[in-house]
Amino acid sequence: MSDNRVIQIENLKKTFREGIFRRRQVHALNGVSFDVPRGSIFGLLGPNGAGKTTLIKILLGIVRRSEGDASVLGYRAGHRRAREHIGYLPENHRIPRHLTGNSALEYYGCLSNMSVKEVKQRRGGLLKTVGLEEWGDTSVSNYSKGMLQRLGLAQAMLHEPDLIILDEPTDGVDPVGRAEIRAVLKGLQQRGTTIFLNSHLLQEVELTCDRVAVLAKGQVRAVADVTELTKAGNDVRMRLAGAPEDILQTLQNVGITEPRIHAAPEGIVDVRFSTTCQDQVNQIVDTLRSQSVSILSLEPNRNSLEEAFLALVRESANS
Amino acid sequence: MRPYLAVLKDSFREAFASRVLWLTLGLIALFLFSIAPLSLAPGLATELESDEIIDGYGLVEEMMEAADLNDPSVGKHLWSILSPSEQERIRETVTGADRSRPRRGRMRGELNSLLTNPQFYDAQAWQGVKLNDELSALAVRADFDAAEQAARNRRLLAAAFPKQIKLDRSEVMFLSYFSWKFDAPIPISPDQKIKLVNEMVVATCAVLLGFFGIFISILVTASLVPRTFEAGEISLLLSKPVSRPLLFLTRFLGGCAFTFVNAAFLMVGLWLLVGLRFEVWIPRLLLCIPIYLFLFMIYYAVSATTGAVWRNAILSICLTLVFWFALFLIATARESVEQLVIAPNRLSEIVPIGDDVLAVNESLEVLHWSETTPTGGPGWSEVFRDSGGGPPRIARRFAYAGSQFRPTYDPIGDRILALEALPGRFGSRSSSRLLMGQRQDDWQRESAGQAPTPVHSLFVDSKGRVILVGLDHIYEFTGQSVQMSDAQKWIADKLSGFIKMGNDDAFRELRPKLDDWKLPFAVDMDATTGRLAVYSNGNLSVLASNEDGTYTVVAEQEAVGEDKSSAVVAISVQRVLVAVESGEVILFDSETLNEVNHFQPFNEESPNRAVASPDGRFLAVLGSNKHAWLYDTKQDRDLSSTIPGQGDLLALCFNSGNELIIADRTARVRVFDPETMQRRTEFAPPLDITELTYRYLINPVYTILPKPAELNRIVNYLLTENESVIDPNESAPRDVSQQKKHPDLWTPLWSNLAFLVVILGYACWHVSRRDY
Repeated sequence: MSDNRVIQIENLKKTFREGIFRRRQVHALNGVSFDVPRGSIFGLLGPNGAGKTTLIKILLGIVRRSEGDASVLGYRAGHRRAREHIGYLPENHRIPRHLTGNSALEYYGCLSNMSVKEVKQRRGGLLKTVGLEEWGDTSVSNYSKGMLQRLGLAQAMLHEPDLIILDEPTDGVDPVGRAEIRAVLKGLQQRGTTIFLNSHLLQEVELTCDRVAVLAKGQVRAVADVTELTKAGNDVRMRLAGAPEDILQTLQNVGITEPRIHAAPEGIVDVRFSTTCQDQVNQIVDTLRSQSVSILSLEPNRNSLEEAFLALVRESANS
Repeated sequence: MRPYLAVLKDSFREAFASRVLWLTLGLIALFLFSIAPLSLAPGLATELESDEIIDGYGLVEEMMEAADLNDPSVGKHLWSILSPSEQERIRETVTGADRSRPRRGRMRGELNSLLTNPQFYDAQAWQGVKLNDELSALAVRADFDAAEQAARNRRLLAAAFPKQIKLDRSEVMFLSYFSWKFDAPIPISPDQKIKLVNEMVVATCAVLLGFFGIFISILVTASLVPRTFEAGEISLLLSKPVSRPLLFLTRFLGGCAFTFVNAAFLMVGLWLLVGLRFEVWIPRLLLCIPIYLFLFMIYYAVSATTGAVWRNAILSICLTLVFWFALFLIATARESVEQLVIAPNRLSEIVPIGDDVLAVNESLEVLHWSETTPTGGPGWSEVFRDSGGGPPRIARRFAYAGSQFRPTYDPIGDRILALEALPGRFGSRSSSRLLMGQRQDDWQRESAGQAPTPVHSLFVDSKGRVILVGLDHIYEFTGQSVQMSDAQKWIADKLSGFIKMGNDDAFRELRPKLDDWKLPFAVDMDATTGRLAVYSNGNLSVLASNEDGTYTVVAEQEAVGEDKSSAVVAISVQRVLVAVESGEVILFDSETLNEVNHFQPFNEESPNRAVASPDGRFLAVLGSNKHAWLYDTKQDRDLSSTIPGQGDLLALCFNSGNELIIADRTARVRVFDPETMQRRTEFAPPLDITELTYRYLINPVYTILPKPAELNRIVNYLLTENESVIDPNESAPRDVSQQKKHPDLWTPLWSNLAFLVVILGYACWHVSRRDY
């Protein structure tokens, strides 16, 4: 690997042709470019049909690209050597029903070039990590959907890959399980594994990922750190305990023309205003304190990831 | 390698997790257990079999005649112990005009019921019959059970009527199940047990493995590949470091594992069972496992490819069954057209008549080239037609299977001559009839006479003498000395096979009966010198005509070829050519019979016909592979490569102008200068719509498609070992001895393998290019 980027995507395009006689072209990816830094948890977001799964499949060689370049772990996307170092949990994966938890891990481990001995050494701990330690000898036909997801995650981690690509990993998993999976992913990140996560659950992504890319209509709408994406301009948010009239007067006195004030019960007042000057903020704090108004909290105002995502998608829909 | 072993292991795992596998294995075990109590045990032969009755009518006629005589005889005694109703029934059977198979079977039944008669043996009646010591002792014994008595009586009857009854076996086999013995014996001697068991095993394999086994395996394995390529599973598999084509092929092999387990279980079980119960160990039975696996692979390749393309198990099964049916349909269509239209018209002999040509097709019709046929254009029209009608044209080829019909042209008498074998009673060959047709009578066929003994070959020498050569005698046909009335001619035509109607004085014996000529036998005449070259059971001799016309041996050579195999022979002025079954061609000096040269033009293919040009310069051999070998004795040169249409040749000969005449598959006859191979004349009938369809549609499609049914023939050959497999597409053997035809084991294997490679190659290409 030549640099610190695990995945490099440059102007990637994919066009599908549908229909037998009058073949219609569908542009699933239309010039996608971004990089995924090593050791990060990278989230891929986008509405249905944005091209997220297609992008993942191109990275794994399951789907061939039409144009552009993509490399994974320094190899051309889909290269067999690259796949040796990737763990993948597909969406709606199907593990053959004649297997048990243990034999499934043996099967997929051997497919990843592991020996049976190596698999046997690792699978006990791994099943414990994903919460299936008592289900190893049970046929997967008796597994719930959440258990199948956990087993799928275990097989993706089995050969200790450098990159794990997860497509909707918490689909069907209960909240406790989700928290466990989040913990597992964080643990993997600490060991240096890069995680590429595709999920519809924006809260999960927000809680887990360092950086995200937002895809819509086959194009990248944003690539940024989560904190950067959720930052909402120059807004400041204060939570105060005092009379709303005094607070409004104070703000107007220091030049805040259109503060948004919301008086909550029990004398709590939420205030938002825009400013680019830190001196102005300091002056407000000094004045409020001199008027015996208690400052409960003061922080720059942030959007939720969902808000940021929806804003980007709507923008894309309007363009 | 590890990932593919994992896929293979998973296929086994999946197969073993399948209830159908265990159900099938259970059914196979049940089948093996159910046939385990079967056994074959020898027992006394108590009945006469149809092949042992040489002349049943003669026997009964002799009994009836003896009944009216005063002297004691076996016939008189046996007739007397029959009840009046039995006598009446037998009399009716014998005197009736119908001597068809059912009636003959009825008579056999009457004779067999006679054997069970307790009064069968009478010392006075058997007084004049020569019995060996053992049979003499048995004759007077009284402490018999019914079976022993019938067995003894059977032998006594054969001793009393040696010309009519010829016993083939003293013991037969009885099939039993646990302690229950089937009453009806299997008419084979204990030494034929292996053959019987082999045939039973072949039938079992064909039904259980060739049909049901394949069908069940297709049903069970149909879902393996589609399931692997389902969206949820293939994405996971392709994310692993595996090659798509190898993943498909490994899955395909995994599907074959299911069939292998079942086939191996059945065949090993059958092998052990047959070995332990019948004491017949057939190691080749185990070879059937890979053969049937290969057969399954052909169908499974279609199923797996369909599964990889459409990812639907139901569609896989349906398309595989459609494919199976299409193969059956194409093979049946080809076989039907081949047997009913193409083969009957295929030429098997060419006879030069001056500058003109006669041909004989496989329906044994003699054809003459005509510029205007009833259909309008030029073509072959039948001459020398059998006025007796014979079987319908469609069945003629089958009725005459194995018969030779090789007309000869007599240039001096301007007539066609031919020999017709006459069937004797109970199917034996009794004699040969000489047929003749004059040009002036439009070659109308007439019976010229019946040779006193069977003859095989007919020649006309330079003096116009008609020479007939058989194993026992050489005759000259001197002409019809006895003028027969129309009624006599009719009787001679209809009954000559059963009743002696020969006009012996029309056939002059040129060589007294000797026992030194045996099968395999072949003979040819050098028309210039009238000398005969005779190949008999590995020995070669040349006979020259004396002044009085009789023949004497002038040169002999022993141990020609290998193992006294069958051969064809040709003689010219300087050379005698012998082509033996192994494909070797040996040239001898015709005066001394010293070997002068030998060749191996045919690779293990047996020769069908050898001919020499009248001037002796060119020698030619036609092989059963439809290739011809041509040799120029003057330049000592092999000219085979100059012959056009090698591989399609069906007949060849030389005309009086030393030109080579060749017939090919399309009923086309071409005349060539053998030295330059310049074509002189061509007789090519236009192809009709059926032949065009066969040639340009059915046959190419059949050639391209695999031929799994051929694999069944290989199994049949493997298990019956020395059994010859007659190719129905081939014409009857041209040699006088029955040639064994070994099946071509490799062609069907290569053909099926080619299909397998193409279809699996396509599937691999498809899966490697597809987006999942």
